Order: sequence, then structure tokens, then C-alpha cells
Amino acid sequence: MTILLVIVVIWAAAVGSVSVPLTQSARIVASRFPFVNKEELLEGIPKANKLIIWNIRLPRVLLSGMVGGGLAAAGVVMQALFRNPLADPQVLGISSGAAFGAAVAMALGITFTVSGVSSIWLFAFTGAMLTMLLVFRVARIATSRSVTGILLAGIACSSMLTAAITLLMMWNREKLEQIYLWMLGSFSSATWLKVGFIAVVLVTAVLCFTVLGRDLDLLSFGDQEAQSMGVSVRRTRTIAVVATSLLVAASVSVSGIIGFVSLIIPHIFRILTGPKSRRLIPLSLLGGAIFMILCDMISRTAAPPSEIAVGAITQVTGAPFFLYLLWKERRKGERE
Amino acid sequence: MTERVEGVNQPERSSCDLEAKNLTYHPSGAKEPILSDVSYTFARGHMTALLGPNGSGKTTMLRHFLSQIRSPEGAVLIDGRDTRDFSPKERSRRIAWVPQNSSGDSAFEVEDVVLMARYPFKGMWDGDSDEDRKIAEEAMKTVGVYQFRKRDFSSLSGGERQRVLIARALAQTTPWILLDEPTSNLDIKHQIQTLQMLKEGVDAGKMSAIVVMHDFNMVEKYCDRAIILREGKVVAKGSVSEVLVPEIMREVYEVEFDVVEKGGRRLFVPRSGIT
Repeated sequence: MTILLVIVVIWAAAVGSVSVPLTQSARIVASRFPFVNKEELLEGIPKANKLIIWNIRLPRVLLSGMVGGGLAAAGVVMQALFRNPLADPQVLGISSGAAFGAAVAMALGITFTVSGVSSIWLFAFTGAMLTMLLVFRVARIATSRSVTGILLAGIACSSMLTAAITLLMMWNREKLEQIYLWMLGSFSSATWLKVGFIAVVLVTAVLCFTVLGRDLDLLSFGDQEAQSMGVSVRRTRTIAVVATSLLVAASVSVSGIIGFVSLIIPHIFRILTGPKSRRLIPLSLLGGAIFMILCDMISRTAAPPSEIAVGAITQVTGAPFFLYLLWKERRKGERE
Repeated sequence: MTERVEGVNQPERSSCDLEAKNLTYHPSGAKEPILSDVSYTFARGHMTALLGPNGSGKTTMLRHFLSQIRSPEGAVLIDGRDTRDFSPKERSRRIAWVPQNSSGDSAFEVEDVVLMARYPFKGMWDGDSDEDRKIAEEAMKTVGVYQFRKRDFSSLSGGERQRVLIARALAQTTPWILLDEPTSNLDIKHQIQTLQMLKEGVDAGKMSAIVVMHDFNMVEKYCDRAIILREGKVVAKGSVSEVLVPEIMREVYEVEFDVVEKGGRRLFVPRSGIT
């Protein structure tokens, strides 16, 4: 699957309004690895192609891959944590927080860029983090132990923020399209800085998830049984929720709200390979990355020169496949 | 943060007493305490029946042993050490639990469910070792669930699940095993098989057991000690023949029992009228 991911990255980088041959794309990617002879690899490739691949396409492809993988992995953890197949990071209200932050920046016309960090990105991330803190705060007051508390607080915050965004859009009609498009999600503003930012958060979060893999499996039997087998339930839950929240906050702040990936990818792999977290998390990570890169590729090439919102494509392509898998799984269940 | 788990840390099986000391649990808002001043030492090497009518505090007592409830009054001691001082892993290397109903409805295979019990012996990065697999296999064979080790836990019937949970507790290789009505979903053959298997385990010195049950004839046959709770207080404790006498049972359960001797064992037959 890792090999498949590499192929998809190279392929996606080659496809676009200016078509670059696959071999050139592969050579440009390879030239950045250490211990290779750059001059030899890059010989005969037009400078424009090098620039397009390296400065425009590759950051975008990598960003979409990492956001897709991150959201999918976050989905696995959320579903295990809340013991609910429908749980996904959006219910924590983090995405809405990010959207609200971005909407505020756009509505107030705050546009600045400090060393590559745009105001919208900054506002979105801040919004997501503040929402996360608020949700935890409220949840702690409401019920100190239950997950349902967090879930309810998240949903409440989420709908409140969505209402606030709608108001912002109504009061600033001229910004309506911009805000709406941001919320649908896009990778068009990808930069190497964003790639680096997501990479750091993603690696940290995935490391946490991997350590917690076994604990998450045991938690599927409920807090009490998990605890009787030695799981520090509260510690596990805190680490997992904080890591997922950070990952989701970082993801939506660079790409907007891209729904469905965190729900569908984990389920696909759960059907294919079973529920063990230690297998499910890396597979969902890779699968989510491949899926998102392909969706983004469609979004920028299907109707040039304009782009189709990538969130719409994830749903259009993902949902039927998911339904097919569910149907197949049911047939299998009936035969047994 | 790495945690080293070595074989040395594992307590000798059946080598420690489990003691409830002045255990009192009075949740805020409740009129009456659920447990009041319960003291009892569950001696090693025995299969002790924990008896009492519904709501008498049996499960609450087990939950204290598992640190699911931590009451400020009283203590639970294992070999003289307060269980509150144990880390979850330390505690779960000493006490295993078979819940009455599992809240898990997961798609894990039976084999994986049983392997989960090896958690307290694992460091953060460890996978399942060959030894873990051997222990799990043995536990599944002992309980008789080995033939459906590859089936999904969620596809099993209530009785099959209950036996898987028993296998899981056995795979935890603890000196103590607490069972909350372990035979409630089992047919009569599997009830006998399960209790027989537990008794053999206890007799062989592999573990000590505390079993919540309601069938006095089964208690008479398989347990050697008993303690009866009523409204959170200890009514009687001691050997089964001391505890299971018609007078005490009438007082606790408000049911008259006839005792019939058959093959050297007593049979308890409830009379139809309720006192």
C-alpha cells in the first residue's frame, strides 16, 4: 500500500492543466532524496516543468495526502473512543470552530500574511483550538467522566458556531461565496510551509495513536471491562482526544471542512481487515491519503480552469463505494 | 514513559488473600448506604460464593475489589496492600473479572478478545508473544470455546459470549478471579461444566474465586465457602454448611426451604409459599 501511495503521488503530480510526463514527475520527486545524483536525474527536463511539479503540484499533493490520511486516522480513533460507528471529528465541533475562525477573518476583511502564514489559516486554527478548549471545559463541568458529555458539548458548540457562520454570511453578502467555498474545502492554497506544519502534527498524533492501539481495542468493551484488564481509562481517553483534536484542527485550518473521509475510510478498512486498531490506523492513514490525493486530482482537472470543491468529490465518489461494501457485507452475513 | 513488565512482577498465583476491611459505600443522595461496614477476608485457595438477594450489594462489593468504585471509607487489601495504591496494570495482574453481561459488541474475533487479557503484561510497544497465544489457546480450550476462536464476538449467543469472557479472565492468569453470575446465560450442561472447571482450577491451586450466584444447589456442590449480604450488611459467613441453613435463608430471602439429603449432599427445595 505504501508503494501504491508513492505511485499515486507521482501520478497526481504529473496530471494537471500543464501535463508533465510521468517519468519526469518521478525523476523530479526522486531528485530530492538524499544520496542521488541530481544532475543526472534532472537532465533534459524543462525548467518550467520542474517549477510546476516542485513548487505547485507537489505541496498540494502532499498536503491533500496528509490531510486525508490524518482525518481517516482520527476517524478510527474517534469511533473506538466513543464506541460509536458514526463518531467522526466533526461532532467535536472542531471543524465548525475552524470554519468560524476563517469566516471571521474573511468577513472582517482581515487579510495579511506573515512569513507565509495567512490570516485565514491563523484564524481557522485559533478558532478550532478555542472551540476544543471550550468543549472540554463544558464537558468537564457537565459530567466529569462520561464521553457522552464531550459528545453533547461538541454537538451544541458545533450548531451554535454554524449558526454564527450563517449570520456572518448574511451580513457580509459580498463575502458569501468566498466563505462558502472555504467551508467546502480545497487544497488550492497549499504551500511547503503548510505541508511542514501538518507533517509535524500528523507524526505526533499518529505516534500517540500507535502507542494507544491496544488500549483503544480494549476500550471497545467499555470503560469498566477495559479498566479491569488494566487500562488507565482516563489517561488513554485524554491523550486520544487531545491528539485527535489537534490533528483535526490542523487539518481543517489548512484545507477547510472535508467531510466523510474520517467516517468512510475507517469503515472500509474495518470491513476489509477487521477492527484491530494497530492494523486499522496505519491502513486508514495510507488509504485516506490515497483517496484524498485522487479526489483532489479530480477536483482540479475535471472542469478546467475552475475547480470543483474537493469535499463534494469525496462524497460523490466515496458514498457509493461504501454502500456497495455494506451491501456485500450484508450478503456475506446472510450466507453464514 | 516506557514501562517494563517482567515476569518477576507477576504475583504468585493463589498466594494472596483478598480482604474487605470496613467497606462502606454511601453514594451522595442515597438514603441508605449500599455497603455498610463490610469486613471479610476471602482466603486463598477457595471458591467462595457471594450470596444475597437482588440489590444487597454483591456487585457493588465486586466493583470495589476492581477499583471501579473507590469509597473513602474502608479499604480493599490484597496481601495487606491497599488496592488504591496499585496502578491499573498492577491490580489487573492480581484480579480478573467476568462481568455478568459484556458491554462489548465488537467485531473482534474470539481469539483476539481472549488475547486482550494479556494487556497488563505488555509494554507499550509489545505485540502478542507466542507465550500469550499459548495461554489464550489453553484458556479457550479449558472453557470449550476453542472451536469458535475465529468467529466474531458479536456473532455469538449470550451463553457463548459468557464463556468467552470466562476464557478471557483465565488468560489474565491472576491469583483472583471474580465472577458475577457466570452461569446466568448458560444451559444446565454448560453451567455444570463451567463450575466444575472453576472448581478444578481452584483445587489445583491455580487461582481463588469469588462467585456471585443464586442457585444454592450449585453452591452446595461447587463452593466451599459462602458469605451472604443483605441490605449492604454481612448476615452470615463461613463454610457453605454453616451459611446455607434454612433459618438464615428464610431471613435473607423470605422464602422457606426444605432440605433433602441425597447422596451425601443437601438439596434445597423452595416451598411455594412466600413467608
